[in-house]
Amino acid sequence: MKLSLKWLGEHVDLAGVAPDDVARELTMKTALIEDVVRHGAGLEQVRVGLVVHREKHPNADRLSFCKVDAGSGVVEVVCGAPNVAQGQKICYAPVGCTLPNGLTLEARKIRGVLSHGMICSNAEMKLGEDHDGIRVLPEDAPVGRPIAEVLGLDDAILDIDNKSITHRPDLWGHYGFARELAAIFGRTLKALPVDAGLKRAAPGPGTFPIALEDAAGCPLYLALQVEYETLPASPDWLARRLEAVGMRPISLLVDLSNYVMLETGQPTHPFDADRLEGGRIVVRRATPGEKLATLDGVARTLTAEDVVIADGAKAVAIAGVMGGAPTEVSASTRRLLLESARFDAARVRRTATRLGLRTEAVARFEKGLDPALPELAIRRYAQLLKQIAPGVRVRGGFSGAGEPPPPPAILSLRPARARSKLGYDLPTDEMKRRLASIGFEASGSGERLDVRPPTGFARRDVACEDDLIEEVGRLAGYERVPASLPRLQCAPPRLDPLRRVERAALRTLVHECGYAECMNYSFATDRQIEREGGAAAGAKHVRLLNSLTTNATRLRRSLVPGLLEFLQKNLVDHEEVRLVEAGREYLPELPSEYEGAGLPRERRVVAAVRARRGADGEALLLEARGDAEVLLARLGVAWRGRRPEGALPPFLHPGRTIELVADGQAVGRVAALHPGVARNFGIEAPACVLELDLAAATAAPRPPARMRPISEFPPARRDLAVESPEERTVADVEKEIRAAGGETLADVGLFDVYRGANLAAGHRSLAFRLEYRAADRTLTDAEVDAIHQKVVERLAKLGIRLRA
Amino acid sequence: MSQSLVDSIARIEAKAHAAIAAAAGANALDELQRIERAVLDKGGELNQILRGLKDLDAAGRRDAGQAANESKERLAAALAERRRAIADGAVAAALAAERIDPTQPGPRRPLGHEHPVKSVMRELDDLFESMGFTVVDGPEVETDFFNFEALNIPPNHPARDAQDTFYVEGDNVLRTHTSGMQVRAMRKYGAPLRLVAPGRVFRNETQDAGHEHTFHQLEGLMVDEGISIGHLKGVLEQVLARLVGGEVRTRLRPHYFPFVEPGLELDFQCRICGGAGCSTCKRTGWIEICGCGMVHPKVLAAGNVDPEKYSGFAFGLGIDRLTMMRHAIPDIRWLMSGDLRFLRQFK
Repeated sequence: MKLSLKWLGEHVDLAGVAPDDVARELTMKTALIEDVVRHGAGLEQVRVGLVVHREKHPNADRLSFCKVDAGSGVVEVVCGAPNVAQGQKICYAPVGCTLPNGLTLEARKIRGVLSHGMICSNAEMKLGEDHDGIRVLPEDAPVGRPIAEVLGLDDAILDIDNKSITHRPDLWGHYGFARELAAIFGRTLKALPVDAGLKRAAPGPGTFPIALEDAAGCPLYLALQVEYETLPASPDWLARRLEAVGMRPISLLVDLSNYVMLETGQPTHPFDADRLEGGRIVVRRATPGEKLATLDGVARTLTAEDVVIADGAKAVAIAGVMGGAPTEVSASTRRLLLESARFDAARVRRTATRLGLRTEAVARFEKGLDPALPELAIRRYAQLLKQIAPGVRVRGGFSGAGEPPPPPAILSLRPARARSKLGYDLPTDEMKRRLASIGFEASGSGERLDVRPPTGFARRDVACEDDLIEEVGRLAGYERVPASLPRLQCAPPRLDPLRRVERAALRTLVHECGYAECMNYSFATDRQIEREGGAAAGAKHVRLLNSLTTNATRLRRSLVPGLLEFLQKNLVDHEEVRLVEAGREYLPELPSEYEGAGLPRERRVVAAVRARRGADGEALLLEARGDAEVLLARLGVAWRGRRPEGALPPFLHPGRTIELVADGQAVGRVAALHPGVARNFGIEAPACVLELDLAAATAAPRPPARMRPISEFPPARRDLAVESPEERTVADVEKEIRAAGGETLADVGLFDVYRGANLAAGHRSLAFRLEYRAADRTLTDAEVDAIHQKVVERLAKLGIRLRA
Repeated sequence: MSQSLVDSIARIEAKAHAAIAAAAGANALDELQRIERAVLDKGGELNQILRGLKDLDAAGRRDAGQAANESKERLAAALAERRRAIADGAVAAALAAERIDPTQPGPRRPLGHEHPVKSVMRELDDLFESMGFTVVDGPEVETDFFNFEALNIPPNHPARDAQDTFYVEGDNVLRTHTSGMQVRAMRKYGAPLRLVAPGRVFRNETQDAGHEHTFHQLEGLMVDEGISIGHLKGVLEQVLARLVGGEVRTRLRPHYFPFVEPGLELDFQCRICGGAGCSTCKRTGWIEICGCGMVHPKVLAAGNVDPEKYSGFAFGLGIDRLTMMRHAIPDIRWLMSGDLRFLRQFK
């Protein structure tokens, strides 16, 4: 929202206060001011010019070639605005001048014609928005005079961050901010000029009949009837005020409605009373499917949730949102009916949200305006209208239906509690003074003050003691709060074990295994699900009920599909890619570990993908298995690898999947990517996947490692190369070796696997290094040979022969 | 007789000395070894000669034996000396000859990279833990109660606009902030309490350079008797000083969040312009860093904490924005891009 400093100055004397000080104090005490724009800054060289001649640009249909007299000779200017015309007084910016938008003018050719300077629009001068093109000045503007002087540009515009006043319905107009400034700077808030003589007329002849059928949606509806033969245009000061805060002047009746809203915060709506069929107003729920063409020219379809203003026959406005086009005031209007009402904030919000119609009125009504405002707004409107157009006739008083609610309840404030919360000794007297400055009447002294909230500018945000503490705290100034550190207990903080595990897992994969950590969305797109081979049978996703993109309608059950997309993109310009992500899988079929109905289990996993162009698929998978070995060693997990048991996710190669098992539980997998899925994702290099369920992998307690005795005697090493049937796993063979080797066999390690022509069909060669060692002596060659022979014989019995 | 033996010993010694002195070049050490064997070893020349001792009288034996032992000692010393000289020469030669190009890289090893946002989150975990805060996790799919209702955001409150919240089946939402953890934590641990809850949050918003529908926050909460805005200020100043480094000027100004009262925003003075105003701070001289305030009594009550006995402060840090500021990342969408060209730029 924009505030005009001049307008504020009409309600509170700000003499001697610089615009920047106003902005700073409001920011520190009331609401964030995002920007201060001084009108006229940068316009020092822009002068009133007369367009003495205008013709079409010789080389461009949409440009004009003009001759402009700005008091120091006639210059030639090319102008692109559609509204430039001969005889106009305009704002001329000469060559060399820098406009507020940062543009420095130089003489330059535009489509072959040299232009000396520019005829300016409002936007170029930062005086508002462009509506029709260039800004046209009154005919009597003296040629050559600075336009700042002619336009009275001595205003500054404050830009408020609307988010910082969503809780303050009283701040949605200039008068509310004037009240804050009066409190902040210790000045007097002037009474708002109103037509005090205007009375609410009892229903009867001469008043406009109003029926409140939906009193919950509209607790109070007031209407002012005005007749006239002619109306003047909006006076210049009014038009300029509206423009200054970014609103376009339209006609006197509409401009006054906007003006009163921008001043008091209360939206009003002018109807052409003669277009209201049956000469009456009915406030009711819309009938389902009821249609109304709103002022913006869009046909709206309504529901029974919406509150509408209707005449005797049809809906004429959507309450608190927008009026209808058929009953709009126009040049031919001779009888005005001005609506000033209270609408239910939630209903207005819901209707506006459903229709996608965010108007100035909605922004205000949805905050819950003060019940006394409709009457104030009507009196202010009447006062301004009579002042500008003395010929108008107000019919009787104003009509109305509904009653204002009772005044707000008395609150109490314990000064000691306020001091304790603020963290410093704010005197009770000052608290009372601060409250009084914004209309809160505090009485009593000592332990408990009674505080009466103001009426007329409801502060819905002030409903309890802590709200009052905020009021005194902010007005006294938070810079007075001294920083202090709380006393800490000595007990160390509780640690979240899973966070530590996740961190250790990532540290290992990133720092030791060379993976790049990435993050992906928690969503599963339809495309991912299709590419991974469709949702696995029975796999249910958490579904989103609303989403921005139609292809992300579910929460992910696996991190892998997203990683595969990243993999594919990165393989475009990288030979090798290693990516890891720590994240959550959302599993609705499992109970959540957190309190709350219907929450899915959020399984914490680390998932990684690895690919290298030109790599051997099996070799790459073994490298990935090596990564898993390092990872699980770092996590202190005792594990083994096995062929998968049970169903696999569709993206894994079933023959090349290694299930990671700890304590008999599958806790993760290392696998080659399913070749069909690889094709679906456009991944041409061999790729594999590593997944680890962090909670499952670390579920078993991990006692600290116990040191084993170290033998003083040297080991004897023997290599053993055997030809082993493919179906025998390395673990099988190793188990047999260990069984035969007994205690003396201290270590067995595989160091080579070979498949080739000189081996029996269905066999591979496994080469182990065996280390024999005794704790109490150096083994003799003969002793070692004897044990080694036992190993060879045991394997031979199983059909695992020594390689020739 | 003994004299001739002594002379022979002297001749052998002289010859050996000459050979030791002459040993040089690549085979010098082998040559010394050969000399040692030929002259000093059991079957060496000196020992051979001493076999003649048996033909001598006692005095002759003593003289010759003594001469032979002295010769052995001198030769052993000469050998050692010569070996040391050769070794020294080799060291000197190595030092003189060996050089490295300091710009030549080592063999390439795979270098991993931490995600910048996750790095900042880990740093914050450590920082808060060092200040005695417990770090907790919570659910990302959250109930309406914890995400809104318990935080003093009743139905129809503007803060729960349909366009901002992702709803999922079963009347639940994707949490729009980490603030719901305030109530969860109070219910679980009771007061007094000191914790942070970092994590992923969601808003159903259109993405652009400054907006993401998925981002990260850190919620802080401290509840105890007599907690004041002063404590909030003190703790946040410490956090900022360590996070940003050096002297940090801050200011607290009013702001509205339904779950705190008073509601505040903490700004810190722009480090780029020193408060004079520049493009980074949008010409204001200050940069918004975190929304904060005193926990609303209704929120304490929702957490089963007595608002008459206890008070607390809460704050929320936007981690993505902090990360973007730290690394000068111009577009938030890079964070979730998974693009190695981006990820590789970080440690």
